[in-house]
Parts: sequence; structure tokens; C-alpha cells
Amino acid sequence: MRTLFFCLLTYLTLFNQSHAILTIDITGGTEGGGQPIAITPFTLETGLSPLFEDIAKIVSEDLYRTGRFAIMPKHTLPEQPLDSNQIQFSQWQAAGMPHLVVGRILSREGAYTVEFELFDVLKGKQMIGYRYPANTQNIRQIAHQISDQIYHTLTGERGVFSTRIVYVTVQRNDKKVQYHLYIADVDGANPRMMLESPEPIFSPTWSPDGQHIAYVTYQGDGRNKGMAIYIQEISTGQRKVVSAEQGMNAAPAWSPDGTRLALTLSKDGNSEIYILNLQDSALTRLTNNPAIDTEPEWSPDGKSLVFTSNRGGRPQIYRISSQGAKAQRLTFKGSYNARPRFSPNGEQLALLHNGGNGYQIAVLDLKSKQYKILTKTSLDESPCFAPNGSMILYTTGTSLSAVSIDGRVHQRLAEALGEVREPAWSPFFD
Amino acid sequence: MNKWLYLILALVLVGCTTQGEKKEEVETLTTQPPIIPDILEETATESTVPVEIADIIPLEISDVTGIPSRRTIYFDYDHSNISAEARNILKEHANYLIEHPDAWLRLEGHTDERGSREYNLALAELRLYTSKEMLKILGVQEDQLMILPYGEERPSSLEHDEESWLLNRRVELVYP
Repeated sequence: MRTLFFCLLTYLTLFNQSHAILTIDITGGTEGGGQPIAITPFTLETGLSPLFEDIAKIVSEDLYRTGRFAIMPKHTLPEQPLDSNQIQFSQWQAAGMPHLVVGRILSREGAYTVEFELFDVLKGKQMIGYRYPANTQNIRQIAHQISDQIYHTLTGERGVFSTRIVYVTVQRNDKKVQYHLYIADVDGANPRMMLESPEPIFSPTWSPDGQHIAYVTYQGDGRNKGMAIYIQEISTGQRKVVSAEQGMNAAPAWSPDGTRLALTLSKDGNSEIYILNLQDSALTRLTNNPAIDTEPEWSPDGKSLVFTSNRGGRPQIYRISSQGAKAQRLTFKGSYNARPRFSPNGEQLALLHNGGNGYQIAVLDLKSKQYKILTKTSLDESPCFAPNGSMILYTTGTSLSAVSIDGRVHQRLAEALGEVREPAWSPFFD
Repeated sequence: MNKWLYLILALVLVGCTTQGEKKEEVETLTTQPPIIPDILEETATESTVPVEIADIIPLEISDVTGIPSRRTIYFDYDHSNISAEARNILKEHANYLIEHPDAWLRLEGHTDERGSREYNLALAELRLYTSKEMLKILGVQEDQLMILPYGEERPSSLEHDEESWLLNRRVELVYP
């Protein structure tokens, strides 16, 4: 029985992975860029059975994908020091490497320990060094934390390698369509299915503490079939309906303090933005206009919201106080500006823009009013910022893409067996 | 002695044939499961309009249930206005719903794939709103009409060109 259970678990895990694993490719922009760094293979204490995961490889891939590092190819490493006191810094200086990472896996009282050190090659000095208690289950997590430490030390900016993404996949077999909601590590590993449904799932979004997701799907049948907004707890998978009004229930957005949800309802005639207090379920109407009003997004200080409206004829972005009052138009360039998302510092908006070359991802600087178009494709959607503001993740066609905020580095995240869409990047988890 | 031999031989043969038949029977059962007949839905038989000669022409636009066969109306890009053609189709459904006060209709709203998902959902909702208002003007009772916006989630064509986009900007009239 236990064996059977184990087999079933293995099967489910494999099944899930075969359905959802995202593969990441750099699709352009890194050539000649990035600071050089050498990451030597993590040595294994003699007598320890090898681990499934290659820490140096995970760290190398993490740093490479940011476009800010040029990783020294493994076969050109001048030496593979077993310990830090064996490093011959002159060799690394000669190879033109300003920074070097060495690490090792040890065993202490039956448990694994992972150590790493980052060296300034010119000074021949350690910059940082950490030791992590490890087991066979948390090696990837430790590798990502090592990447975070290195990235933070060398760029001054917080790394996002330990964050996650939520996304929707769609599989079409003949006429049957299956929608799935997944949460995965930011490198696509460890996908975990949150929901499976024959009905569309969309607009997944993280609570500010990263413990819950809100999303939209359909429920009921016959006369009772309708839209509903759900909130699901990630750790338990438990979910509850927070809005199931007549007509549209859509576009959930958490307030920065996590106590309220902005959403779009059409119960009073046409699509309007409301604020739902999650503590007492009180509903406050924010907009009142015969045009489309939707896609609310809170400013990071919680004082105002931006949203999409076609009250001026075409879809454009407007800003309104979270207390209500008159909305102000923010976008004037291009025939289509929609689905705004604030940068973490509140100074920029990522949005879907059409300035005559199709639907592209653009960043609007709110002070200078300058637009920067980051993509060259024409059917882009759903942009969101990384929690450190360094990248924007979005949908293009049937896969996901990420672009650095300077537009220089592009990555493609594809799923072999279906469509992937509507990514949302988690906040930092502490 | 000969008689006994014949009898045994006969018994053996009978045994063989019955065994053979049985085996065949089992095989037949496994390869051909019994055919389960479809249960005819009550509504289909109940609402069948008795056909007279004069009714042959209307039958071209109606199926046997009497529900008008044209059940999709189309829209211009980023618009929710009801075209003359769409109005004609809605008129057929209004007539049917007026004649069948117990029947109800679900309007499902769709858009093409361009632009943002949530804006498209709101656009689909607007198309449902104008379609519903038209049906009410044409005499349909409010409680006979349900609406369900889908936006760009359920395209009827999966291609990425003008022709597909045109087919996907639609409201479907569904009698569940």
C-alpha cells in the first residue's frame, strides 16, 4: 500500500511536471554585456552521495538570465579550488575575472551543509560567505538564495531569484479546452497546480504578503452560471468566493495593506470599479460613468488607483483617488493604452500600448511623461514588474516573455504542451 | 462398443463446440459493448412545432425545436453597436421568446484577441448589454435573459488575422 501510494505520488508529480514545466531561453540582448564572473563547481565532501541538483549551474543560470553578468564557461576555468585557501588569485586575475564564487557541500551530523564564498579577485579578499543547513529537498532554494546574495553584493539591488510567478496554461485537445492555474519558481522549476477547470481562469494576482492569490473564473450552471472572484490560500489550497454578483466580476487588485480588493462589477448597469473591504465585505463604488471602466491597480502608497477607461472614445489610463472624486487622464499618446501596473517605487507604469505598431509593452514615466516601448512583437499582453523593478514579465502570443527595464535583455518562457499566459510576479517573501 | 465410442465422441464434440461457442461469446462481449441508446430530451419532442405545408419555408431558418437557427451576431472592432443584420437575428429570437414565455436565453459575449484581457471582458459585457437592451425593446421579458461575458477567452477561430478576428467579435445566443 505504501509503495502504491509512493508510486501514485511519483506519477502525480511527473504528470504535473509534464503538463506545466516552463523552459527559459535568452532570446537576445546579452552579447558583450554584463560583468564577468567565475562560478566554480561546488565540491562534494568525500563519502557524500551526489545531489540531484548542480548548485553552481543553478547560480550561473540565475545570474546569466539577468543580462548583467557574463559567466565564465566551465571548460575555461583555470582551476577548481577545493578550498578557499587554495585559490591562486593570480590565475583569475590573468583570466580577467574580477569576481569568483567557490562553494562546497559538507556533511555535519548526518545533515548536509552548503557553503559559498564570493571573492574580490584583485584584492584577493572574501566579500561575503554564508553557510546553509541543507537537505535533498531544499538545494534549489539554497542555490537561489546564493544567487540573491551575489546579485545584491555586486549590483546593490535586491535579487528576485527566490520569488515565484503565478500563470495560467491552456491546453486544447480537439474541442476540449482545459485551463490550469500554476505557481512556479521564477526560473520555471517546481510548478504547482492550484486549479484545473474546463472554464476560463484569468487575472491571477498575489496578495501583498505572498500567501494568497486572487483570480477570476466561472461557477454554477444553467441559470446560475456566472463569473466569480476567488481568493485561494497557497499553503492549503483552500479557496473562497469573495464576489459573485450578476454580470461581470473581474480584475481583482489588492490594496498595498492587503485589507481591500479593487474589482470591476457590472451589477449596476455597465462595468464600474468598486472597492471591497475584505474584513467586513463592505462594497464601495469608485467610478460612475457610462463607458468601460476596468483594470484597477493601486499605487504603492495606497492613496490612488489607476485604471483603463474608454470614456474619451478609446481605451486610456486614468487616475483616481482611493477616496473617489474626479478621475484624471494620464495617457495621451497612442490609440490604445490599457492594463496599467505600477513599478515598485511608484514612478512608472507598465502598460499595453498601441502607437500604430500593434499591441506592445511600454513603460510610462509618470514625471517626464515619456513612453519607452520595450517589445517588438504586436500581440503582447499582461505586463507586470519584478518586485525589484528590474524586469517586466508579460504574455506574447502563446508564451511568456521577460524584458529588462532598459529593454536590453529578452527571455522567453515557453510551455511545450500548450499556451501560457497572464503571469504575475510574487512580492518578496519576507 | 462402437455405440459407446460414438457416444463419447459425440459428447466430446458437443463439449468442444459448446466450449468454442462460449469462448466466442466472451470475445464478442469484450470487443462489442452493448449499445446504449441516447435518451431523447423531453424539450425536443415537446416543443416540436407540427409542420404544415406553409411552414416549410420558416423551417429553413428554424430547427425542429422552433428556436431560430441563426444564433450568432457580429460586431465591429472595439464597438458594441447592433448592426441591421444583428437586429434581424435578435428579432427572430425575440419572437421566439415572446411565443415561449417559459424559455430563457443566455447571451455569451466575445471579443477578438487584440488588446488587454480584462478590457476585452468589459467590451464583451458592453456587447451583451446592447444586445440585451435590444431584445427588451423588441418585447422580451428581462427574466428570460441571462448574460455571460467571456471576452477573448473563447475564440471561435484560433487564427491571428482579420478574418478570424471578425468571426470572434460576437455575441452567441445560447438556449441551455
